[in-house]
Amino acid sequence: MNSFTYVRARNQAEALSSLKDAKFSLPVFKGGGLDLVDHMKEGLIAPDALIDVRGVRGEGDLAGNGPDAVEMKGEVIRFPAAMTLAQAANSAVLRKFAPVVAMTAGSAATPAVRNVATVAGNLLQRPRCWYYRNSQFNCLKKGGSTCFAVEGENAYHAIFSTGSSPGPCHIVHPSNLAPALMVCDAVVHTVGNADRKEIPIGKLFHGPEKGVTSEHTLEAGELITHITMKARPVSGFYAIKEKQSFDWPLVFACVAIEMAGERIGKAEVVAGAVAPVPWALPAVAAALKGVDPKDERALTEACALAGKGAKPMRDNGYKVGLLSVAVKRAVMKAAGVAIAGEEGR
Amino acid sequence: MAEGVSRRSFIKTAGLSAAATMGPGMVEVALTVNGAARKVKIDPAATLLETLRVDCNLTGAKEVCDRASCGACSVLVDGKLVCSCMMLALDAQGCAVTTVEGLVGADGKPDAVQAAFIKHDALQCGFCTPGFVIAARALLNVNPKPTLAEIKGALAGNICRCGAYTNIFNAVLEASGQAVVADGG
Amino acid sequence: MATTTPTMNRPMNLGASAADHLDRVDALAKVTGAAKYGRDRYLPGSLFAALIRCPWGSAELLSDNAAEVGKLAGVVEIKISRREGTYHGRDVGYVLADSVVALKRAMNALKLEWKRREVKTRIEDTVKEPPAINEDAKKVLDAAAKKLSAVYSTPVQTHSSLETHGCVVDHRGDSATVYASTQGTFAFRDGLDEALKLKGSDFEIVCEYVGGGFGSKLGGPGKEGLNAARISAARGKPVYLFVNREEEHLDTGNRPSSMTFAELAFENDGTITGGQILTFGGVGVARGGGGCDVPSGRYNFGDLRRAHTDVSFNAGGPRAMRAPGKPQGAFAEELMLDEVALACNVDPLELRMRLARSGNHKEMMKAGAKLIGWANRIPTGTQTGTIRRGMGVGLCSWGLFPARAEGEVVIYRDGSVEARTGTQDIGTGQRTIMGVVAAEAVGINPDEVRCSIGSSKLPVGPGSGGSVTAPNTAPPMRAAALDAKNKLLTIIAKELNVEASALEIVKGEVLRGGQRVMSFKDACQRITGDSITGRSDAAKVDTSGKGHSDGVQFVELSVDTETGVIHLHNVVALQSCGRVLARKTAESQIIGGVIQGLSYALFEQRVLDRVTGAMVNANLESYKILGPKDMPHITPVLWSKGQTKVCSLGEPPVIPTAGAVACAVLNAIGAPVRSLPITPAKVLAALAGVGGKKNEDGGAR
Ligand SMILES: Cc1cc2nc3c(=O)[nH]c(=O)nc-3n(C[C@H](O)[C@H](O)[C@H](O)COP(=O)(O)OP(=O)(O)OC[C@H]3O[C@@H](n4cnc5c(N)ncnc54)[C@H](O)[C@@H]3O)c2cc1C
Ligand code: SF4
Ligand code: FES
Ligand code: FES
Repeated sequence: MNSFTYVRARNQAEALSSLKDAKFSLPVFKGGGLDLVDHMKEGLIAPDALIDVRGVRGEGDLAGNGPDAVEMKGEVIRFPAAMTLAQAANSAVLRKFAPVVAMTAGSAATPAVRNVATVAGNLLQRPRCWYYRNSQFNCLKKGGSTCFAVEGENAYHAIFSTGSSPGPCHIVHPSNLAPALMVCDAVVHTVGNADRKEIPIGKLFHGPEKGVTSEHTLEAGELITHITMKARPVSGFYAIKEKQSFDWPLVFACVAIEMAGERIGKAEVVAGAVAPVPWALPAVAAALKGVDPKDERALTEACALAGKGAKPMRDNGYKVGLLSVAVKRAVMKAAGVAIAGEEGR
Repeated sequence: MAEGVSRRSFIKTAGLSAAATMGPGMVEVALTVNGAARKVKIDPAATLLETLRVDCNLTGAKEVCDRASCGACSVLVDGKLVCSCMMLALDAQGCAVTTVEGLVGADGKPDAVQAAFIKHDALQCGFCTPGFVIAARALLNVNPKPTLAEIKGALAGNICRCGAYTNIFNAVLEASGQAVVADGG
Repeated sequence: MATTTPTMNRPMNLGASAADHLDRVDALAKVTGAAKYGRDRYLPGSLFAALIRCPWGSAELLSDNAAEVGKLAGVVEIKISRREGTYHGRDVGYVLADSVVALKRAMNALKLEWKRREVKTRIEDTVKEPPAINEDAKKVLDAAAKKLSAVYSTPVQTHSSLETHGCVVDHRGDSATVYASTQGTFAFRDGLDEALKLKGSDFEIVCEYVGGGFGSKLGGPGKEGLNAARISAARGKPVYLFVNREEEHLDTGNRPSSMTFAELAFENDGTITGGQILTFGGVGVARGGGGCDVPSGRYNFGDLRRAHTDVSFNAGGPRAMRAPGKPQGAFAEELMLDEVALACNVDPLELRMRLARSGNHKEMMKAGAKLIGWANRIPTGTQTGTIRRGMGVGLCSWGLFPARAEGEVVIYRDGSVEARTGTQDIGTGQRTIMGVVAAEAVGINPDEVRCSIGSSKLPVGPGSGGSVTAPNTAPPMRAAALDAKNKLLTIIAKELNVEASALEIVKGEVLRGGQRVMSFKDACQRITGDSITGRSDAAKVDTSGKGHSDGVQFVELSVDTETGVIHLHNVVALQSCGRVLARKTAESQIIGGVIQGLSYALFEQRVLDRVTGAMVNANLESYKILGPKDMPHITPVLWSKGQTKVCSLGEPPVIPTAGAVACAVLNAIGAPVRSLPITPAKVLAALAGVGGKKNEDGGAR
């Protein structure tokens, strides 16, 4: 890793002013540091100051207090940006009122990673495309002129595109948490930019057509302080992985529903690992309306729409069908319907 | 703590903000490892793993993947399981770090997890073993009677290339005072 | 020192061994972190070195900033000795620094400008068409009632030893100590004298603990050892050179990829009459070493034409990996048999009972079928649910190879006993079983013997490869122990005025005609001087009766037909392994082999970018190795019927697993997946092909 200054910010003012400190040319905020250290080890970035923001206290406390960092006031759930994935997974509030978030956080990465990884860091982590992560490939995302995935090894890349045509970069958005937060209509709260303080999570991310070298819309110096979102007590998550002991999902889906009697009255569906951004599936959500989640045939039919419009690459066509299955099972999880083969696992 | 608070209020009144900075270049760090206070001189870029191994001569935690994907470098930081290969040593300042060496009792006796690993031959080459022992210890500290599925889940970030998993599961069951999985039953 | 703690969870293996409940003698050191591996040796004043590597499948080095980076703090030297590479990972020089942080910083700062060249990355880049069918084979095929035409393929699997390759060399001018991670203490020594500019007797290789090897650490010091030795010799300082995980994947060997083109002729009852099997091995930049062992000889394949070709391309070459050539072949062979069985509507186990050549295998198949519950196997192609269960079976066999080995047993005046062999313990339990052998021959408990191993100053022994260590080191160790005992008894006999042959040692007591004379400890006190040493005199290993290490494995799994995800449930692994020395470590060897086989079947593959030849998954995140949550229940069965010799055990259990998994998948979904790893995508593609669409890799007609 390159040489850098380590800064421990104890409050917002310290964090923000350190980032603007003229003696640093590339200062960055640090949460758990997992993705930053990964980048620095590979030589992908060389920040000259790491500002650890987890110790920010007082107004905009980044870690949260008490046994559960998650608070609920009325319909609104609130948690701090530096809450770890483990805290999210174990939060009694989230498990009851937004199980999709707890489940997603609890299934990401490994127990040791979840103990360190922060929510903000998870949302802002960079893609796992193996060309991006290996330093010798100077791909588009790193300012180069080629996307190596197009001709190369693209089994894990995107099947949907945000622009009018696929590319130019074919990553899948890495964050497992982002789609879960999307179905909860989460809002990301920031400081450090006078013009805005609240960003609906859907607006936090952008596709490659709007700039290929970044995935989110935050500017340098914008610090995420906390996240608010709505309760989604009937919600679920399902990931399909090649390997069950920690693996990035091939595809996954997050679903929140409101039941009207035995049937789905309203649904929100967002998929992951299929597009450069968390991928909302409004058509599937609409089709789910009126479906009895115990009626697997009707459910399958509604979810079959999930892959519509997909433009797979050479080696990732299998994801299209998998997506429908993931959505279906996420609905079943949300509705508490047993999934075949899952007993005793 | 009291010092921190008073300093913060000082800063507030002064209307200034000067965060605690360390480096660049070598810095002196105070760590608490296995109950003992240690002072080491390191570069801010040193990981906790490198610091433990090179500067503290605690080589139980191993570097295997160097990227948080194998668990061989597992240690406890304030009781929580972490991959020390991806944690800056500076991030562990003020925390209690426990390595596999630190599980051994003052009488030199292995702890219950370590003893059960021996009994069930939950290791072969042994290179992954410190990581598994620490991960198992972290589990039992919060869940004293885990099910087999919970054991697998808690160890899911650890890889054993020799393939000792079967016996590792039994060792954790044994260490938690539960019946091991038997064949033919 | 060893402890003994009874475990009763595998009742069927109790009584099989000389030491049923003995714990691995070095387990305590390993669970407490006290065990020092090569990588754990940080000597004062060490320099740290790393190799510079070619990042592409083929490239030319145009320019570098070595001069600039050489000026960074802590950097001692940068040497670039080659300006070209023909595979990703080819070493072209090294960086030397005075700390770990400085070394890594310099490696990142080093900017090399390469010009890429065209590459080949797969067997298919050379073998573009299915090879022609030989005229004789054609005749057999034309006359056949039924035929199978299929292509089977396996990817490159890397050894992925958790301790990477490398060593610490401490050159002190006229002597040196080398802390190595090796499977061959003596091969490492023999390859290092020139680089160290010392005679083999002037330096010592120490490898007390080795973090795995699986074959990749057999071939001497390698480039890691040679570079470290040269630098240490030149600078007179300790040099620490261990490769990182990426380099370990790229340039420390692998199990080569394979393609098997099968054209089989068979009768309506499944009897195979012959045909043609052509295999190809993907050996990277190597010229050979890509063997793919099919047919294995375990089954009767009739009148078969057979040829193998190694194919080179731009990638790191193979090294022996746990049963080289065998799992690739067994995967193709076992799946072929199940496809034949399916085409003939016969039970695949029944077919194997007919085609298997060894009675031993047949007996094991019968026993294993009971344990896995083969009677409950659902016929292939009859399931319609989302989750479908499958069972598969596979066979293995292994010979017994001779190797030079010596041993020493020292009995000290204080009653302690030391067994000495220079061989290394890479996790196989060598240290433990040497103690068992020595203890048994002396007549004391295994936990009373201390084992000294892993040093080139100790008696010579073979590398841990070919499963030769235990079978070849046990007899000389036994001979040495007997020699030591006889020397001790001679002293006692003199005192008692009897013949030494009238005395024996049983359970730590010296007996005469069954009556206790004195304790072993008391006997030892009569040793004049410090100790007596028993030696093996070029003990001859009996290598007759090869192929003793037969095995049969059964796998039970289920396939989620919506997601293509496979869940492993049970594995029964019967392994004949001769005389078992220590039950616990023997069981561990079998379980470990099975797990590596399962991981190979479902997850592992080196992914080379087809355009640039760079390996894109050289890590442990996207190079996927089976983890705790993927584990089935595994029942290891030590099958020692009528065997008195110590046989090979390290390698055979890895052979049949992937084939058995593939057969179980076919049983579950009714379509074969003919290429490893069996990923969800491939399962779904196979399912889509059932009933209608043609399978691209061929099929039975
Ligand atoms: C083996 C492994 C497996 C993984 N598997 C998964 C998985 O399955 N699913 C998944 O979702 N993730 C997975 N991850 C990724 C992991 O979740 C992320 O690396 C982690 O969440 C990053 O969080 P962090 O706090 O460490 O971020 P950091 O590395 O600290 O920061 C990441 C980015 O966020 C910025 N940042 C951090 N905090 C703030 C803030 N408060 N305000 C503004 N900017 C901020 C940083 O400047 C940096 O750019 C895996 C990681 C590993 C190593
Ligand atoms: S998909 Fe994006 S990150 Fe990956 S190689 Fe292409 S441009 Fe680079
Ligand atoms: S070395 Fe840290 S997780 Fe692998
Ligand atoms: S015991 Fe060798 S890697 Fe686990």
